[in-house]
Amino acid sequence: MRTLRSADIVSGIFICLLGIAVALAAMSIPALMGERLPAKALPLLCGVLTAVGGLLLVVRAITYKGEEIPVEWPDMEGWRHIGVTMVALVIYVAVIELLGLPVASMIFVAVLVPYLGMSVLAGILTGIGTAVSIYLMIHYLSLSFPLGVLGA
Amino acid sequence: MFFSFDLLFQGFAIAMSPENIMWAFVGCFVGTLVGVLPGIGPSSGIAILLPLTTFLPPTPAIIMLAAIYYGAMYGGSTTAIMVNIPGEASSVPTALDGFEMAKQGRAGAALAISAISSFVAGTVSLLGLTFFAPTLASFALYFGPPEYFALMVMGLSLVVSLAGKALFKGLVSAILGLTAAMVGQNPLTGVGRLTFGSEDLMAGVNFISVIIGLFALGEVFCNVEQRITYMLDNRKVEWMPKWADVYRCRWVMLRSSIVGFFMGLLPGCSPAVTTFVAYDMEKRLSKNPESFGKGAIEGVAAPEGANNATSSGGFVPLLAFGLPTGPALAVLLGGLMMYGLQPGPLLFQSDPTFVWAIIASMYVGNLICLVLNLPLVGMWARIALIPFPVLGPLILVFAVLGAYSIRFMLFDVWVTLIFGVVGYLMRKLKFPMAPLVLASVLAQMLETSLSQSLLMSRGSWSVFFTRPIACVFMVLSIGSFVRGLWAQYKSGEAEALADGDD
Repeated sequence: MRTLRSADIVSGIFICLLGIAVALAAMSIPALMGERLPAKALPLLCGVLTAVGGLLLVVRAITYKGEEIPVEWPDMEGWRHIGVTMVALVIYVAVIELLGLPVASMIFVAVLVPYLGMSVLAGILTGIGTAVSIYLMIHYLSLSFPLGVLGA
Repeated sequence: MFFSFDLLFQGFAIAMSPENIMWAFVGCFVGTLVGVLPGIGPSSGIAILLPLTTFLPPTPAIIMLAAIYYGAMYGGSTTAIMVNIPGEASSVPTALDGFEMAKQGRAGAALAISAISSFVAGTVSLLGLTFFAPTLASFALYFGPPEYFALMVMGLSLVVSLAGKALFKGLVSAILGLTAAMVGQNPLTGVGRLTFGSEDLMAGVNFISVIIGLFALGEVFCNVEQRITYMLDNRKVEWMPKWADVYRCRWVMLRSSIVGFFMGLLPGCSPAVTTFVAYDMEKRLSKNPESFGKGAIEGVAAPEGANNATSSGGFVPLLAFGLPTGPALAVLLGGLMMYGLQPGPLLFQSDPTFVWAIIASMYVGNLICLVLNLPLVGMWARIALIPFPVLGPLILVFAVLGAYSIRFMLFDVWVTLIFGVVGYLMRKLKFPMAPLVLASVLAQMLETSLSQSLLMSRGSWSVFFTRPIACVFMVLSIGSFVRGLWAQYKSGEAEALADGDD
């Protein structure tokens, strides 16, 4: 995965497998009466094309003779930053319905802003600002966003 | 629908009354704000605000609703340019060059040209609406399912130019987009497919989730890893575009107005398709097409102009036939009917003052939007001054908010997160993202029109070549594919892996 060539081989294999899975799933789509375009035709075509595309990607990368191009992956520190951000994001989304959008967003912002390099105070202030503006938006536009602990 | 200057002037007299101007202003203002929020596009914006207008008499209410509609169209480009979040599919081409311009410190110029281009195109297509509506309305009637299918195939052929030199990866990206759009219900029969036993997947993958994930989340992840302090390298806040820039875009604006207007006449042809077409057209006509995607100002002017021209063009079939050409206009139609006004040929005879007041108010509204948006440019451009550790988390919150507001389902947010990771990987592995978006936007229409055409022709595929309009589109799109593949073949296999140009 260090060079674009090896990365293409890996992603090609993955795309090919995805295509095969889609094609297999498409086979079991039931046909309906009187259809001119069978219900399974397009999904099947997409699956097959995806698989072929992935395969060609692999073949093209293997037969590639040119200069190796490195993929610009992040360093350890960078990976850790992305990892923490993604985990924070997943937890944030997971608790949205429980805590409500304003509170969940506030905590998410208040944690992530200092982590990415600002002061804790900046994090808390941004968090509060976010929560208040989201709350006002939900309230005045009567949007059906979850309010969670803030109640309906 | 009989045009007369008397009726038009009468319309202007009503539209220029202080009260109506005020409601048009309120509509433009609220519309712009709603347009700036990602996910809440014009259609949900109008739907949310529809109840607010009920205390008004019909004319000011519809003036306000229409103003919300094109106000939202103006606002949609802001987040696309400033933070690379295209809130709706139609802003994706704007983000391609607009965000690049912002990175180079030309955010102000990009925002301003998008407002100016929107104004020019909006006004040009209003002229079309005013003078040629009856003739043009019948144009849409020539479009049956085969013509739509051919048009969608032509849309898909834009992948060739969107992908640039990374043609093969662009094609793979487009196929992935089509496949993602297949998940869920069959648009004609409602039968579930490719759900792999999951009930959530029955709802399908909404393309707004795909867009927000690929662009906004992917961009934030890429910035997080580099521990940057500012997202835009150049933080010079430049207020106004240079007149030379505006002058340079004069033909771009005019061409995209015309393309946008004509495509706006077609039901179902949303601004998303038009903006891609206009972008592609300018790229082809440009003397230096390689500057597109790297911050070409024409690449902002073209889609933004086309976007607004399409929105105004959509009023032709709406007023003449009562045919809404897109979800936003369908909600507006609902608004008209709420007031007991049935759009259609009869409306022009039974209530001409009302119709012409609405049309006249749109000229006024366009001007209001321009006057409102140009000063705001300075404010929006200051987003560049926010340090990334604050801006990044805020973008993520916005993205979640936008994804959630599509259908108010948490499922859409999870889809967005997954596409965020996909977007990150696509950037790293040099897959172009625009083809994926384009394909997922076109997929449903493509499938529906194909099924309908084959039902019509009793299964014969020749229907796409025996009808003149469809045949022209088909030939053009096949030509475009062949030309792209040939160019790729000639440029040599050796380079093909390298120049992933996204």
